[in-house]
Amino acid sequence: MSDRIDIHVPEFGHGLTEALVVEWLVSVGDVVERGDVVAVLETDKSSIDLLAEKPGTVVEIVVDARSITTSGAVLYKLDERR
Amino acid sequence: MTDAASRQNLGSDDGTRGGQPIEMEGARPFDVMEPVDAETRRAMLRHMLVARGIDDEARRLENQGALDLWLSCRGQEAAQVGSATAVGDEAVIFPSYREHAVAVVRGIDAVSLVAQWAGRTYCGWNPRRHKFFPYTLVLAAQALHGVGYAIGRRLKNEAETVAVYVGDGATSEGDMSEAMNLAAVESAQVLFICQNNGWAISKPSQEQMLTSITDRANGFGIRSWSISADDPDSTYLSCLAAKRYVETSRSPGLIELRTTRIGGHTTSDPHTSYRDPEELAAAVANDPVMRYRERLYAAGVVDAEWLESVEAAVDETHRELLKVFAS
Amino acid sequence: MTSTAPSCLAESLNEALGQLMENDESVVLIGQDIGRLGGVFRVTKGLQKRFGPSRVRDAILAESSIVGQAIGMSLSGLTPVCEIQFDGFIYPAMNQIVTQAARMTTRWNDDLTLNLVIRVPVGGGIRAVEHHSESNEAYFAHTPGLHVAFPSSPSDAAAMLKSSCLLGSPVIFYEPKRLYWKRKRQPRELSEPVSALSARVVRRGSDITVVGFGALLEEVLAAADLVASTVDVEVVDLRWIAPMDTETVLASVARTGRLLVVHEAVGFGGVGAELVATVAEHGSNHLRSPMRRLAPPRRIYPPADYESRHLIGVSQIAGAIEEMCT
Repeated sequence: MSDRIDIHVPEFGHGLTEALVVEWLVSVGDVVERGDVVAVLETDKSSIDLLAEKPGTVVEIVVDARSITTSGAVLYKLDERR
Repeated sequence: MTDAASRQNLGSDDGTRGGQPIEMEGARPFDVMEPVDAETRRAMLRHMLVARGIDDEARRLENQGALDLWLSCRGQEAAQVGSATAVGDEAVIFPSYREHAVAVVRGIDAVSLVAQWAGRTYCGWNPRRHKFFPYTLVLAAQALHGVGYAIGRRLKNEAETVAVYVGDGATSEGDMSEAMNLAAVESAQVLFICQNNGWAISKPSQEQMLTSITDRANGFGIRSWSISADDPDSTYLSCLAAKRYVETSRSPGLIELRTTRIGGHTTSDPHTSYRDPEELAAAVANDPVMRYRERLYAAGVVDAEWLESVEAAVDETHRELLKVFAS
Repeated sequence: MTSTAPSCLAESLNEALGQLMENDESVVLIGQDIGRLGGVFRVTKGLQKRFGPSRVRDAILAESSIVGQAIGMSLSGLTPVCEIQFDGFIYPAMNQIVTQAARMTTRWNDDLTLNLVIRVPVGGGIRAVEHHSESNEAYFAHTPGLHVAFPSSPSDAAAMLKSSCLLGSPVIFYEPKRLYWKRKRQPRELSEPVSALSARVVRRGSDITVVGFGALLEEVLAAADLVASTVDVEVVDLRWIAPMDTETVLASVARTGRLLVVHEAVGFGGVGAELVATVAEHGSNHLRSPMRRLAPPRRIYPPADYESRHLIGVSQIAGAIEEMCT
C-alpha cells in the first residue's frame, strides 16, 4: 500500500481563488523536500512560486500546465515514502 | 541643520542636545576601539539565526495557505537584533509590525509570533511580560503612544527607557511628525528607531521625502543619527550610544538604521515587478545573517558544534510551527 | 445660607474633576488651553493652580497627539482625562480613537485596563461659528470598544464623569455646551439610576414615552409640561448612548404604548434609529401607534442665523407628542 496523498491548490488570500498553472518545475518521479519550488502559478494579482508542502516523490501531475485551477482542487499527488 | 535651529533646542547641561546629525560609519571593522564581547555576539547571532529560521518556515506556511499573510524581515535581522540588544531587556518597546527579530530578542516564541498572521488573534504574546507591545498596523500611531508612555513614566517618577520602532514610509504620517514634535517639547525619554529598508511597499524611500529622516528629526529638535545597519556589531554599538544619550540627557533621540528588505512588503506583494533585479540580487548576496555567521565562525567566536545546536533549535521551531499551523 | 453647590454644568464638572484629582494621583488632565486659561468654557478653571502643570497639561495644538499620548499615558499607569476643545475638531483624533483606543483592549486579548476619558463639548444653540455646534455621537456609538456618555444635567454629569474614570475602557464624554452656564433647569426626577450605565426615567407618565439626552432634554421636559393637561408624558433620559440601555426604554414603552425619540443630531443614521429599531424588534407588541423620531433632516449644521430653524424646539416636540396621542 503506497502513501499517496493529494496536494491541493492553496488559498491565495485577498479573495483570490483562481490561478493559472504557468509551468511545472518537477515531473513524475522527482523527489521533493518541503520548501522546494514545484510549479509557477499566476493569479490576477501576481505570480507565485508554489512550494512543496510535504516531502516525497511526485507520482501524478493532476492539473496540466496552461490550465486554470481553483483553491482546494487537487493539484498533484505525492508518495510520502521515499 | 542650521545654527538657528540648534539654538532653538532646549539645552542640556553639557550642551550636547540637538544639533547636527552624527554620521556614524557603519562599515567599520568590528575590532575597533570597543569590541563587542563574544557572549553578546553569540547571543546576537543566535537571535538572527532563529529569526531567519522562523521566516523560512513562515514563508512556506503562507505559501501553502496555512498563514493568511506573512511580513518578512529578511535582510533586516542585523538592524533589529543589534538595536534590540543595545536597548536592553528593561526597556519597553513599541514596535510597528515587522520587528520579528526584535520579538525573538525579547523571548517571544515562534508560535506566539506567527499566530496573528494565521488569523487566530491580533497579538499572540503577553505584551507586559515581554515589554514588547502588540504590533500596530496603522502606521506611526505607536509613536504617539510611546511618547505618552514616556511622559507618564516620568510623571510617576519611574525611570524606564522607551523605544519606538518605525519604518521609513511611516515617517510621512502626520502622527510621526506630531510624535517627534511632542517628544522634543516634552523632552520625552524616547529612542525612535527608524528602520529605513528603502521601500514603503513599492515607493522607494528617496521618493518618500525631499530631505532625510535625520534632517526632519533635527528640525523638531531631536538629536539624530544615521547608520548603515547590516552589521550587528556596529549597529549594537551605535544604538547603545544613542540609548545612553537619551538616558543621560533625558531627551529624545532618533537613530536611522539603513538596511535592506530582501523580500516584498508582504508575501502577497510581487516586489520583483518594481525592483531592479541587480538591486535585489545584491541584497540577497549581502545577507546580513550569513555574513555575520561566517564572520563569527572565522573569528572562532562560534564553532561547528554551537552552530549545530542552534540549527537543531531552529529545526525544532520548524516542527512546532508545522504542528500548530499546518496539521 | 449661601449654597456652595454647583448650579451649572461647568461648575459641577469643575468640582468633579477637582475631586477626582484629589482622590486619585493617577488622574491627569490634558487638553488645549485647559491649564493657564482654565479651558475655553472654564470647566478646568483653577485646577492647574491647585494641582500643578504636570497634572493639568496644556496640550500642543494637535488633536491626534492629545489622544495618542493619552493612550500611552494610560498604558504607563495613569488615568488621563483629555479634552478635545470642540466637537467639530475631534476628527484629527479619529484615527487614534477608532483604530487605537477603541481596539486596544481587544488587541491585547482583554488583558488590558485602558483608562481613558475624552471630554468633548457638544451641540449647538449658542450662535457659534462653523464646526462649533456639531452632534457627532453616532460615529462613536457605532464603534465597538467605546463607551459614549451624554449627560443632561450638572449633578448627573459629575456622577457620570466619575464612573467614566473607573470604567477601565475608553469613554467619549460629551458635555452639552449650551448647558455649561445655564443655571435654570427644568425640574425632573433624579432618582438613583438602576446602574451607573443605565438610562433614567426623569418624568413619570402613562400616555407616551419620550426619550431624549443632552441639552435637548430641557426642551423635552418643557414640552411635556406644555401638553400636560391633555397628555401624560413619561420622559426617559438615555444618559449613555453606547452601550444603550434599551431595557429601560422597553419597560417604559410597555407601560405607555408609545415611543417618540428626540435628538439634536441629524436623524438619518442617528442613534434614535438604533433605539426605535430595537423597540420594533423586541417591543412592538406593546405599541398602540407607530414610533417616531424627531431630529433635524440630513443637512449640514447652518450658520448661526439659521440655527433655530435647524434645531428641534419645544413646540415641535409638543406638536409631535400631540399628533401621536390623538
